Amino acid sequence: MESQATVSTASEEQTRAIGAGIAHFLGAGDVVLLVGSLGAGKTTFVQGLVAALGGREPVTSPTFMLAHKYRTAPPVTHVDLWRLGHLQEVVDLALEEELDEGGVVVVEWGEAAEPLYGADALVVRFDWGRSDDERTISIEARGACWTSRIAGLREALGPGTAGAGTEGAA
Amino acid sequence: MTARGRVLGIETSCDETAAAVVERGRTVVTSVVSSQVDLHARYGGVVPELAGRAHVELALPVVTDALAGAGLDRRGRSFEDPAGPVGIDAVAATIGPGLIGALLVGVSTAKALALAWGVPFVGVNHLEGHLYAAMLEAPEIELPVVVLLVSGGHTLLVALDAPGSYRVLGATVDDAAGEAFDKVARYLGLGYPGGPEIDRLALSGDASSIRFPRASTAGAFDFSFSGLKTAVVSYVRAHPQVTNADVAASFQEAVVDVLVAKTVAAATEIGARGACLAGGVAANSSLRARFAEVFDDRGMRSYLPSRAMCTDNAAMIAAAGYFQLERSGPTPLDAGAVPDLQLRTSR
Amino acid sequence: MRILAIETATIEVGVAVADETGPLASVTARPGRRQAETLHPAIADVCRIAMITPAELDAIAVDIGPGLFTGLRVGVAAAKALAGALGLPVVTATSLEVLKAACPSGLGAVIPVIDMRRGEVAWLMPARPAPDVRVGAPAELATELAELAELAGLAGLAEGVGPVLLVGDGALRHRELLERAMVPAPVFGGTALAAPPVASLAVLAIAATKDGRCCDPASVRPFYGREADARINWSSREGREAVS
Ligand SMILES: Nc1ncnc2c1ncn2[C@@H]1O[C@H](COP(=O)(O)OP(=O)(O)OP(=O)(O)O)[C@@H](O)[C@H]1O
Ligand SMILES: [Mg+2]
Repeated sequence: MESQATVSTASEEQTRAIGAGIAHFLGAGDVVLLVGSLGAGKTTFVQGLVAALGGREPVTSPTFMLAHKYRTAPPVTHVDLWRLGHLQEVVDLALEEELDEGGVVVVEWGEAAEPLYGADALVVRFDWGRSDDERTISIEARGACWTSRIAGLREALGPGTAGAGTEGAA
Repeated sequence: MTARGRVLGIETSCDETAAAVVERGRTVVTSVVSSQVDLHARYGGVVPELAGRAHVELALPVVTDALAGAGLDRRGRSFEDPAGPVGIDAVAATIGPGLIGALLVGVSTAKALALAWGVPFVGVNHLEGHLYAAMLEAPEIELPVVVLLVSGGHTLLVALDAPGSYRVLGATVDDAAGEAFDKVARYLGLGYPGGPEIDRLALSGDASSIRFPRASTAGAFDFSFSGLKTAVVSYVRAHPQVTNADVAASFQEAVVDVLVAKTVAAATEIGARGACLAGGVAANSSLRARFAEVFDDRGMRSYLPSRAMCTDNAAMIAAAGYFQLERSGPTPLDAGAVPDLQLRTSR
Repeated sequence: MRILAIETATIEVGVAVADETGPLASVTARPGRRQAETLHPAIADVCRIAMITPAELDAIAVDIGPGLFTGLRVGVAAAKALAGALGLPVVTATSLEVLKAACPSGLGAVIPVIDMRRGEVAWLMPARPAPDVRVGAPAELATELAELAELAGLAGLAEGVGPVLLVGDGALRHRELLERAMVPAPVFGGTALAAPPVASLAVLAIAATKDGRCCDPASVRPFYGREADARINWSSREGREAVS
């Protein structure tokens, strides 16, 4: 079964809505790795995701603090690895403990956490589109507990969603 | 508390492990920050730079150095009178906001020291600590002042009415100012942390060459820097020949414009006697120059504390701890860390 | 000789005071992730119950792991600070040593297994020195158990020695897998032996101080059991090449 889906967005608001759409598929112990270059929209996406799970505090960039935790249901730990240089520093964040306690971990610059969490995660990629406000967001389900959710996810992302290999339709 | 009011402060909320001894919330006796001391060489161990592990190894050596600077041994006793009483009246530590694994080291260390010495523990908000940076270096300061706190992790405008009494006027809704500096710097290939390099490069660039956006926000005193960061990326992609110096100068101009304009507006609105800078971005030369100039023009004092006092340190935590102890007493030993602690208005 | 022992390496927070005659007082709780909230009041309580002040202590003992990072940092930071502030030495033990010491001896081999989360456990094979801690998937432990059974069979030791005893939260969590790993099937410790008991740590520490196995608090660091040397291979973080 197809384990990828792609959707395009033309505004911050749409990116937030995509984050919100994915939020409802999240459960205890899930890892979401966000991959995309500077300013691609990762934090914006998490703003939508956290708000959809009942977060009240504003979601700001966790780059310097490395992690922000939100009192959502399930609780979301919003991580950013941009400042880190060693895998040991990722290990030292003790994200296992958040996951084991029923939390969800969403990681910006998530490629740096692939050696630890890449086998069983939802990977969300952000690519720049033709204009300044366009982005392409592709999701890839890794591991059994994610591939079983891909059909639902694709449906939630709406009619503009395409499977892997096809261009994101408008 | 003895008349000297000596508080040992401990700070471990982010990258720095720091300890300081401050008297009556005003006089810094010693202030030690791990990055300024070659503790790694002295105590060994392969210490990753970030994310909690280093704090466990550095907390005790940093506290020991701070105590020594106050003439005290590791047991808190005077070197002259090792059998005498403990020379510390309270222990304060940052309880938030920050990284949980980092905060807990400072909180656990401070509570254990308080237990061992039989003195009060005080749990302090890191952001409140920053408000006292200017007071610690300029005791003659007249309140109220507006404090612009600009660092890698925070961007905040606060009205400080009296020690322990302040109003939060605005904050960033996305990226912090220092974060924008470091991200743009690395994007331009200037390394990390690249804030200081932008400052240097901007001197040779044309600040009016590119008109980057000055973001508007819903709250009059809020900030947003994510759009500016992205505008830099878009511009450089579209204009591959543009020089780093022109980008750095124009970017810095946009940041400084917004920071200074909102601080001036806030100071005017609350009838402040002056304005203070705090946080690591306070080291930026363009921000310092513009800040001083603009408030001078309006006949208001501006306070630009030293870099050591602006960046994360424990002297500000000890000061905040002293004021908090005076106003609301000790923090119980069953307190933990609060990673998402906000700075809320306090009267 | 009076020792205060601190245990926060796994799911339990424990504090005990002991002397040469054994434990004088102890407090244990399972506070979830509220280790920092629980530990320091427990230290004050235990001192009160044992009717001593911190100044009357002679050493601090602490479990340095492996276990859960958050708890470890809280316990080790507290032990270092207490010892520093009181001018005392520190005695350290690993969580696996403490678990093992808590088990009745003379029956079969005891293998302590600690749950490291995310499908990993830490364990200590019999007759190995304490630092020889293994960390890996429960399946790797199962393989080692099977090898152990085979060796014992070859040596004709399967009978009379008694079955292997598996203790610790890691053994309980992966019980089904480990049960099938060897013949005769291993015996499992109960939930009382899910976490290293702080009283056992205190008793171990009393013995260690007699042998002079103490250290300066500045040199104490957690034994995390998870080391990752790799640098992150960033290809995406830098934007443009520097234009001069
Ligand atoms: N379609 C879009 N989706 C998301 N953001 C967009 C879009 N179009 C424009 N933007 C702008 O791009 C920026 C995205 O910034 P954001 O901080 O979310 O990116 P990021 O990927 O988290 O960056 P960083 O690498 O710094 O963490 C915002 O300024 C936003 O307004
Ligand atoms: Mg971001």
